[in-house]
Amino acid sequence: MTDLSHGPDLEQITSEIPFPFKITDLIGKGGQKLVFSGLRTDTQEPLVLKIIKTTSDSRERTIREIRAASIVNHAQIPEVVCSNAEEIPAGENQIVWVVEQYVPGESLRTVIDRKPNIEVAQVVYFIDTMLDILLECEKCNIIHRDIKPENIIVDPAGQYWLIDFGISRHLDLESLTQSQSPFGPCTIGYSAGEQFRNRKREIDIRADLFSVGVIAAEMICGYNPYTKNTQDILQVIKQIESQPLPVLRIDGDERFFLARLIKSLGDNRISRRPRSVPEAKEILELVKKSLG
Amino acid sequence: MDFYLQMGHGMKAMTLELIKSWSGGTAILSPRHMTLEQMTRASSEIHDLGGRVFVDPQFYVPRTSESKLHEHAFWPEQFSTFTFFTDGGIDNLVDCLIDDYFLALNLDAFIIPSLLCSEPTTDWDAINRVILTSVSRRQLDTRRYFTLCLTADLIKDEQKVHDLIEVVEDYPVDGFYIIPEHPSDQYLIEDVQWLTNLLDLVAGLKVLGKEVIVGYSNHQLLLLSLAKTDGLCAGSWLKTRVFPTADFDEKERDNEGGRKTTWYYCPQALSEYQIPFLTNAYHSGLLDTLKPPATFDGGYASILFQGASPDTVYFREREAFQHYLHSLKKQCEDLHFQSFDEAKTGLKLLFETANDLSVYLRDQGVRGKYREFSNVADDTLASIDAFDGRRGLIYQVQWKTL
Repeated sequence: MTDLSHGPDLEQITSEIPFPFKITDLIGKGGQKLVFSGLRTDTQEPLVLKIIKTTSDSRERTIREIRAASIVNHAQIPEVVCSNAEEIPAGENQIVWVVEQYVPGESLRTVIDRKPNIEVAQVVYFIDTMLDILLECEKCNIIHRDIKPENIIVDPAGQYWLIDFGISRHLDLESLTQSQSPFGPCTIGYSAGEQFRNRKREIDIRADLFSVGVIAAEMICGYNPYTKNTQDILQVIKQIESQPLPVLRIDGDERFFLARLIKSLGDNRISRRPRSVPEAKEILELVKKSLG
Repeated sequence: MDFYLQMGHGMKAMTLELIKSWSGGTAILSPRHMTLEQMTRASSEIHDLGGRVFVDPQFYVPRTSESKLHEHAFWPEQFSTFTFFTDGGIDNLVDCLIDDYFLALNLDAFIIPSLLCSEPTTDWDAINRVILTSVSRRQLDTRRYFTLCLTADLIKDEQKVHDLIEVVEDYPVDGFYIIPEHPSDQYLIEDVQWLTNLLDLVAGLKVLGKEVIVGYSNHQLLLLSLAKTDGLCAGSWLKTRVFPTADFDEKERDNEGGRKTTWYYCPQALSEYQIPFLTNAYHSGLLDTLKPPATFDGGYASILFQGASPDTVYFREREAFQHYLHSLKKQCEDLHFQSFDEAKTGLKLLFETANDLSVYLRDQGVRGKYREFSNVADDTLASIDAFDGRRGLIYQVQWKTL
């Protein structure tokens, strides 16, 4: 058994991977997770190895994360190459590993921090890509629940990738969050009210649409309108629950269609958001036409 | 948008006449104004004329002192909130409404009763779910509408409106029958928040795929066609065009029917005028301006425009009511739009024209007092733009499916 606090037994783990694999670098570390870049040595394909230490509580969530990323089939979700998730027995301190497609680039967070006002065409392309991905998620009944700039990679070609299905929810499966929990798993500032309030009955793909709307607003303004001028998490919650996104003034958006799409996606009232991804895509087509 | 006759005091004869002339139409019967026997007869006669009949159980305020409601068999003899909702009281109410009213009167839809809501609390929701569970015990081969009787304060509060939409989202019904209390008992509503939030509420229910009928309405709420409301209900006296909760308290209520004054409804001005003001118009050579366009004219007010001074002709309340209801029905039917943009433009044109006309008439000494549309034109027009900002894009895309 490997304990991450003392360093995982990497040799043991790489020996379980069903092809020759060489770790090249530690590229991420957080909580009970280590992320390495690596190489499949027989094909020279760059890959990513994630190693996660699970507890009896987190095991199921980890397995679901890997399944979700495997089920949702979209070119801009890193492909899961292989994993030991399905073979892990129940119990404490089990190590789950997963090998995924390597996506070069930087996080959208880095991009926004470096260049706060992103071009309108890029924002529209971002929304388009995210809606395409969410369309696949919706078909599989999966909600990502953690779409935020840190979980979006912008590759050198300018394409957007959605990563980290760590707190995704499969709507056909029983929730892993206790119903009496006052807060559901989320990132405050990018999560819809029904999600952080853990109102499970209401949670569906519209929670992800909310996040896309907030990020699109942030790409335009350079800041998240829900977190601006707030000092703590409670203020952000209050802001989200009391104020809808403003209608943004966007260069070239003379009819305010893009601004209203963003407002509608990121609306704090669930019933005002598009009810489905196809509906959001239809509106986006209207927006594209209006932008010429 | 369909038009429904909201039955009130003394409306049966004119209802029959209107339904006959329309070769159809729907009447919502009021237990407050009719006994079961009267309703049975009315239902049969309306059906014979090709009309449809609903009964609104008016269970909004169960502790009402309105004695006529207490005479109905479905009304609980001793309403105790706790035992009523836990010891089968609801089942008795629902069974009685279904057996003795819905089935016996051969009704064309079932309006599910619920309590007046000032805030969509978990308790209010829990009671509704008891009622819905009770209804679901019975196999009803008809459309089921859930009553949403809402206080003016709730409608004015955007947050509460959205809480309400979220609470009722999964109610297993075909539609909702909204009874919106007007702010401060106003007839025409000078409150842009109330108007916008009501539009928003209708829209929130429409996007759930539900049918929405709005009761106790008047011509200002033609506005609701912007949210693709399915039906608007109005009757003769103001008490069927405005819903004040105090009306369900006999101690608070003034004489049934209100003050007896004849008002002529000018559909193109969306305003109503008393006979002395029509006489003013006659003497100023403006009477023809008030004449209803042929599209809305059912002939009930023709006598006013045949050359004599309005104060000398026989135009009574009955004709005034029939003219109002006929015109409003035609106006409702006229509001058929191919797209949200077309609806927005069409309604703005309707309201701007009505405003211009009522201002012009007022400047000539033809005043509609509190029934003059210009008093509320700004609020009405502003609510169109506010609604567009809130839901316009989705409505543009979904218009044909709503």
